Amino acid sequence: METFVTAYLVVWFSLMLYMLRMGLKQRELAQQIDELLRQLRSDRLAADDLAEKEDEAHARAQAA
Amino acid sequence: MYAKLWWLIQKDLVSEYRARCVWPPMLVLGMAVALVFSMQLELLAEQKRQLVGSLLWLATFFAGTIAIDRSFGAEREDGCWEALCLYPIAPSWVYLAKFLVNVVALAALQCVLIPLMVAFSDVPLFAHPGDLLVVVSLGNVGLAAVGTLLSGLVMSVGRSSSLLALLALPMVVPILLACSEATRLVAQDTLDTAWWRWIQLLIVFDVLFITLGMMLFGFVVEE
Amino acid sequence: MVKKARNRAKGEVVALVGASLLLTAGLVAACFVAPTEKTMGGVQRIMYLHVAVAWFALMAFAGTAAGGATYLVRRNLIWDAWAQAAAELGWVCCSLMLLTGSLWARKAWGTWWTWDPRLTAAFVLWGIYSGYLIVRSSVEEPHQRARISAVLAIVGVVDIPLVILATRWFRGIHPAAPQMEPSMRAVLLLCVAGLSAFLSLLVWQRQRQLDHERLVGLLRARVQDRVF
Repeated sequence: METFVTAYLVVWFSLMLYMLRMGLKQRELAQQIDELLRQLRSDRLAADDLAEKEDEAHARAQAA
Repeated sequence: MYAKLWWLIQKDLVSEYRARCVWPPMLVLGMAVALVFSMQLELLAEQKRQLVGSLLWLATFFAGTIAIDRSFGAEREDGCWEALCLYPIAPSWVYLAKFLVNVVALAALQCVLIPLMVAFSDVPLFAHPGDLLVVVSLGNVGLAAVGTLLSGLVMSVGRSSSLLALLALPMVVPILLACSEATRLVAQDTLDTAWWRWIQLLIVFDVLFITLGMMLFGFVVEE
Repeated sequence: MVKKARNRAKGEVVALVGASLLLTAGLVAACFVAPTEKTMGGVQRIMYLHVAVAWFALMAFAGTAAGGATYLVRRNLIWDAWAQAAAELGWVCCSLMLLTGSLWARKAWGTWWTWDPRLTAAFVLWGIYSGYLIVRSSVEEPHQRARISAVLAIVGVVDIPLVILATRWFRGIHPAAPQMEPSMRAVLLLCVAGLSAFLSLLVWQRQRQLDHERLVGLLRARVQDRVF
């Protein structure tokens, strides 16, 4: 019976380990997506900033 | 088409004849393996007959892997492969040519190995030369068919040669088993239905894997 | 759209819970319901695990080859993700089959391992699986990886029946399909069904994860190159 219990535990733990690995991978993916979004957002802000400055410069040039 | 095929085979054989970089190591390794096996085995005549088949085929597999592994090695150097791809011929014919070259190499290896085995272990392998020839040629064709395809695959991965032996060994287990058993039956002078069954298995294996190789080789070398 | 996605997620949870319940029922039945075998005793209960993982290991290899072949025809990487997911779980099950079989053999035959035909064939299957995963891990470009591994899986799946045939022609001590008490057979079926259902769902989830991983990689490359 001990042998059976050992086999049972071996199967159980390997499947758990595999699922744990999948879970960690999933977390990593979520982090990557967050990071991408953050980067995209900061890119967008920088682009907006640049456009604003250009507009200002344009307006100043026209006023002069 | 056959002229092109012949040209591809001839090209490989001639370049091997001129460079002599694959066959000598293969033959030397095969002889060394045969020598070590026979030195280690102080056995009765009957036991030797039992073992000679497996020893012969293990030696063939390990020494043959050298030749099979190099079948695309030369092509990768100096852009020969790109030139070969420009040659107006389908990939399955390139596969066929490489496969035939490997069959020739394995046959050359066995021309050395089998007499050596007979001399060292004193097993009457040549009692039925025709039947032995059938076993040997079917076995070589099978080894070369699987080996050439896997060698192309390993080349395209760009990995070292140890990968080929690793991939090929599980795949060729049916051939090694069938050939060892059939060779043992030849050595033991029992060419019965069991022998014929192994031959049939070999034929099925050969036909199946040549077909697969010709069908799949295009996918392997696709750029 | 959101509702649809939520319904789908709900369906997945239900399927996963159902499969887990089926698997648990099978394992509990294997422990307590199935009759104890006369000669071997409690050890024989390993069979329920052993046969279930062996069955899935074989099926998963067929799945790997089918996924690879479909990729070669359709050239859609989703099929390669299927193949990889099936190969990973198949490899796990194949290793578990060797392990549980080895534990059982130690008690039943008095040895961890013999070169019995079925054991040899199982070992060869494990070798082919391992080679497949090694090749996968050594190619970077996704389409090349998919092509190469598909070819390898197809060659392997054609090889397996020949391996089984060749090894079986030697005499062996492994029972082929032994006679069984009806209640034992029922428990075995329950175990096989439960494990197959559960692992198939895992394969499905893993395939989706692999696909997402590839998409995130693509997206990141585009963000870094400022290509929107």
